[in-house]
Amino acid sequence: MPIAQPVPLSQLNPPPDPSSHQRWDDFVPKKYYIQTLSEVLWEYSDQYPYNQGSWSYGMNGIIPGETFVANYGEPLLIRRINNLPPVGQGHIKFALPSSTIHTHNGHQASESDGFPADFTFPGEFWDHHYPSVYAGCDKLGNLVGDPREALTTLWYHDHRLDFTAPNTYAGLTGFYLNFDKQDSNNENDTTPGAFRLPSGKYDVPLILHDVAFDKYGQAAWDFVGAVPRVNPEVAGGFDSHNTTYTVNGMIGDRFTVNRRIQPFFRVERRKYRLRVLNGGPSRLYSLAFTMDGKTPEPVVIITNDGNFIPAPLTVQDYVDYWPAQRRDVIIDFAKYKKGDKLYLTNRLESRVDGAGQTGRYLDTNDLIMRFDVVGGPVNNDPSRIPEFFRDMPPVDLSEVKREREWKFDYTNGLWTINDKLMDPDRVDAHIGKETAEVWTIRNDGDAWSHPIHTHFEEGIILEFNGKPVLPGDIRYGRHDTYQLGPGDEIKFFGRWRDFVGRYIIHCHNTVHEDHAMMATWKIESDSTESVAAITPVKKTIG
Amino acid sequence: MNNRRKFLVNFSSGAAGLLLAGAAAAATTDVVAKEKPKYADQKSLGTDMLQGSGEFPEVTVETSEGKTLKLYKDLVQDKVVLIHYMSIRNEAAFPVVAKVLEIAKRFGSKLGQDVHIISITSDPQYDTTARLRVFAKHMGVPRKGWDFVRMSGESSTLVASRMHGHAHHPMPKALVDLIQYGNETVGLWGGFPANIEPDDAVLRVTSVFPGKPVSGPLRRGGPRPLGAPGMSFNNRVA
Repeated sequence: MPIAQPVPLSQLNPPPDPSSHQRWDDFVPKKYYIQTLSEVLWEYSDQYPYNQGSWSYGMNGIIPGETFVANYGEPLLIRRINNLPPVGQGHIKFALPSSTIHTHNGHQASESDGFPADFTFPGEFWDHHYPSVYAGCDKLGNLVGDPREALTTLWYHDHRLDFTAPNTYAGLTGFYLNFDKQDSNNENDTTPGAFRLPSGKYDVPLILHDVAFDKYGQAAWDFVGAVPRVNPEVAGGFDSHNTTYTVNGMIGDRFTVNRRIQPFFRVERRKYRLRVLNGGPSRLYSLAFTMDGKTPEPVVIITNDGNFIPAPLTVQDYVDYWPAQRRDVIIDFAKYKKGDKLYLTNRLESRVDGAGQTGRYLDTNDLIMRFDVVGGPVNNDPSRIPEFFRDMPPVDLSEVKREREWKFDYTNGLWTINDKLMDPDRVDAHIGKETAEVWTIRNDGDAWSHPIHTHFEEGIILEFNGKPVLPGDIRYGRHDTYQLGPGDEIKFFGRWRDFVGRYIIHCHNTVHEDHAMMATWKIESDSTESVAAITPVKKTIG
Repeated sequence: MNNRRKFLVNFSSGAAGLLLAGAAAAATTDVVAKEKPKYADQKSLGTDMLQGSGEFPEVTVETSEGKTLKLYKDLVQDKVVLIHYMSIRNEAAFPVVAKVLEIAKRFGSKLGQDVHIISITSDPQYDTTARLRVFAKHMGVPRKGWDFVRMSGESSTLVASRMHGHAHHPMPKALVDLIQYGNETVGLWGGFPANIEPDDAVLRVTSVFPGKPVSGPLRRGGPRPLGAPGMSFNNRVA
């Protein structure tokens, strides 16, 4: 996918307004970008009818949007221009031509975070300031932050109030990759400490979206009919003629990767870094790389969401990817022969209404994309897999000022957090800047699944269903998205630092999000909520 | 079996490289057109076809003015609407009509012209047309552009399915409810909690108004200068 290219500041007319951005003077942008949202014709495939073009919401003319490559220490600004056709004048009818773009899970100020109510209309632009700083800079008293807080694979997507699901479905997603001196984007980097992970064309972002198309090859958003209705008069006992407006989810019937239907990719016989991301809207995956459509090949997992895990983890099993989750996977194709084919394979059966998993594996797995091994042995693969990446920031429970609980449930056909629906004007948690808290998130339902995402900061999972999460567990590490299955409960530790303002926690099944499973929390310089301290526990973990 | 969507068999392409269609062996069936669904038991439910891009069921309603209308054809089709449930006896505990009234006031002359409101009673037995009339007058509901309606149990089941994802009236005591809004001409539908700021609600509803061609220089949507006045729930330039 194309890499976004900076533009001269002079092309931003009018220029950015420093008074609109927290800490502008601390993090003056060194690069500027322009991204224009517009309606585009996109070829999901060269086969009919998709080769006729599918109307989509693109960014700079493509979907996914260009990949941003950001380096820590190089702040940047992206001006996003809404050039979408006004309501009723475009080809796409199910998405709203009003957008806000969130970089998931960047450490940026609230006014640049893509808060759901911070949207533009056609003819407007929004300036997003990305400081490219590690979290924790204020505590350290510098403008660098704590390198243990480095983020890697992020992505950006629409986050428009009430319309996130159809807008992202229509095309408004893309990758945002962070690099620093260790993860230096250079597999030939001889600097001591550089990871030398596969780079350049061997560093491949892969965003999965399942899409439903109509007979004309146009992406269709299914309002009705996802829930089979009991009808004893019909063979099988169910029919699809259901009037229930689905607030549960949207399951597409075509698997796309980078907005191409079930593509293949020619790979050389060397290592690749594959950044696998479930872009939603609702489907859960359990993924492995297989040759026979069933048996997992060994791979090396190096990240959880946007965070390096302390040490690479070799896995020969299926791994769950819920919406918004990503893992960077290293595969060494050197051990395969020319002509071998590997498939990114899904075994998890999703509920047809999109509300989660059925609890069953598929009888025949889904083949999402194919990797074709080509060429002879590559003897000079310079890339490496370090034995160790980074220490995690320590969990110091004595820092914790408050414990909070977020309960996710379903009432009146709507998705609630602590029995409430999203109101951007209602702050449900006032958090003191430079404080730590422990959050417990709980799924009070027994039939649906919620990938819970909270913005701006990462969390370190302490417990899953009451049991500690320890090194070696796939859940160990920092996360921004948490898998809450039916009845599950997760407790995590987090810090809130460096900026003030509103952010959100929400389900990243974006249909749930739009039907109001979202809540606002706010970092404040002088919050009184956080000083209601719990009894400190003098213990450090990690 | 759901036969509305099928998968291509042996979908393949000879093109090289990533991002082009390739073979996949997991397919089972073929793509078919997404047709408007019809009720299998249509006979028992009357003229119950899902209508338009918003896919509302067509049911017969009685307004507080005593008119008999079709919900979709007369009240939703070709309009921008707010539609929600209420009941007279529940208004004290969950003042949704009062909330909608705040929104309606902000629409001003647009109400009845550019946007219409439909309040559906979830208690048609108690909320007779006469009671609804008195209630609306007591609340100060504008006469133009806002209809209070009641309908039969079967019809209400269909409408509740469309609006609430389940086939029964919303539970009023839950104090959780969405007001749905949409532009039916285009097929854009959303929903907001009943108790959000009225200015927020108006902004959301006007977002789906028919758009006009954009002209002139680009305008800054945001963020506004830190500390500058503006709406409390966003960072948009005022």
